[in-house]
Amino acid sequence: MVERPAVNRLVTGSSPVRGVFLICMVKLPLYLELIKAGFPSPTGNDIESYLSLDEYLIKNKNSTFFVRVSGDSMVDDGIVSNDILIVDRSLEPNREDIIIACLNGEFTVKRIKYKDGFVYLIPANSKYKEIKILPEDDFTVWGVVTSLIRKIK
Amino acid sequence: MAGVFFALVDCNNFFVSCERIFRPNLKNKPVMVLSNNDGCIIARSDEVKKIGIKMGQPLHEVRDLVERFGISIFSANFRLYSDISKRVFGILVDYCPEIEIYSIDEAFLKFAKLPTVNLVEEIIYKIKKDIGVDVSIGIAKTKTLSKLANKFAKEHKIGFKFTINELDIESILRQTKLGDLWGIGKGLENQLNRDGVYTAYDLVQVNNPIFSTVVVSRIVNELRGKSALDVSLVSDKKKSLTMSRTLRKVTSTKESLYIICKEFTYKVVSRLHKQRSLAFTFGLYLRSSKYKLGFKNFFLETITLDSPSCFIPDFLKCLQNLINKVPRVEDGFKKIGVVLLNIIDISDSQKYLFELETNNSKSKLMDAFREISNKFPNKISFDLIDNNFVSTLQTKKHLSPGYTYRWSDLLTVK
Repeated sequence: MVERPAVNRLVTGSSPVRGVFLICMVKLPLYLELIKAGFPSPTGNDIESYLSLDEYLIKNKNSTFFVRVSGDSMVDDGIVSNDILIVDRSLEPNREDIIIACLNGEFTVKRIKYKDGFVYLIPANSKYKEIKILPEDDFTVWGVVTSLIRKIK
Repeated sequence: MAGVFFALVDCNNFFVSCERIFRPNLKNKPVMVLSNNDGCIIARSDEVKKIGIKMGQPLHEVRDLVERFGISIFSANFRLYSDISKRVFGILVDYCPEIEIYSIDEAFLKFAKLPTVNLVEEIIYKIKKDIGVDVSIGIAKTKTLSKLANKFAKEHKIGFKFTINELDIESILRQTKLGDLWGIGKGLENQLNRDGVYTAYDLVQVNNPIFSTVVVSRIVNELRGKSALDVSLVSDKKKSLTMSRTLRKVTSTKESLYIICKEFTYKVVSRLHKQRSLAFTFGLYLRSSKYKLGFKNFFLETITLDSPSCFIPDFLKCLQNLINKVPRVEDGFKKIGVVLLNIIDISDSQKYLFELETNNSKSKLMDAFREISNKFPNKISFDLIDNNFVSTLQTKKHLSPGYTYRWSDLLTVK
């Protein structure tokens, strides 16, 4: 029988970040089932053969990229330096989404906000000011952050 | 095949585009990608084309231009390009299940009826949004014409798409030089020019089936709108080649593993060479008889070469490298195999290699090896005389990070 290491799922209740922190990234069989010919399994169609992080975290593999966080501009949202963010470029940013933006040739991770016909990039750290996007700025939304991955050990 | 339309989708300045996905600051700046050993230029951005640097030019010839115009140089990062390529095709397949992947950045899509302008624009938009790459789409009733349409789309830059219909055909054919036709190389073009045939239009008028070759007849039929080439969904050329055996007795020493896998390597690489293909990736897989390697009982690792090969010593080097990574397993391995992946046709290798001479001589050596092997089966072998015989490590001074394949190289965001 295969030994299954313990997996803890921590979800920070107060954080608005949609993400799952895992202690280890490992493929586990949910349980092993031997189906003998002629006998239908009592569980029917509910068998999942294993927990796959890819399946859970990546919806559209063609447009999904991983990026790494540097700096503390989003610490109040629980995003710290060295975190890995899963970014989906196919999504349209809704208000308050955390996005990866290209601003004047540089990548940044911020929350997007639409106000009075302008786009703003909002940091999650009182040390930083919000950025108003002006017509002369070279600005594009590179993708929308869907998950955060952090190894604790 | 009434009503059928082919769309040739190809990426604009593909290698350059791949690099720019992660370097938005280089959007309108001159960018070039170099061949292996940073020898020649194999991709140029539009800005570099304007400067006058030619495709295939050696880097050392244009050093001063690089300085003067601040051209950004990149070594070829084929793992990255191949990953981006998979994503592009992944999107295209959703729009058209009948797709033939022609090269790393081109595919033919076969539609049952003329695709609408909206559909075509949606494809272009989606690839740009989801991945960040610009594509051009040429649509026509035959593959040869769709290639022509694609060229028009690029040259005239009318929203990156162009459809050839009955009305335009004549004027387009009149404007098209023979060398711009898919399937006509310099040699054939010169020959036809000598016979007074200069444009595609001339070719269609004068072609006499009694005298022309199969290739030319096919091209002419295609130009006339009669499709002579269908989308090959299942090519008779294998896209992966593998050889494996389940052993009666388990083997556990690295030496015995090497001896067995060496034979497999000869066989698969010979098959590869025989179908006039090259491969980028070599893989080794092993399965032990019990669950011993953690809760995995198998080992699978691959090495991707910087430039595709059909040369046995290149893959023997990969094999040696991978065997060193195999963990110790008490009960040994029961099933072992080698696999070749990312296979391309030798005629497409122009895009990747400009050291044609080296590859020609390697290919000739392989031809000789196969001829002799056939005469004396099982008596001839290659061996790596010394480790410098074939080096898969190439000079790549300007290699971009492994953004999509190495954790330590991820794009950094602040």
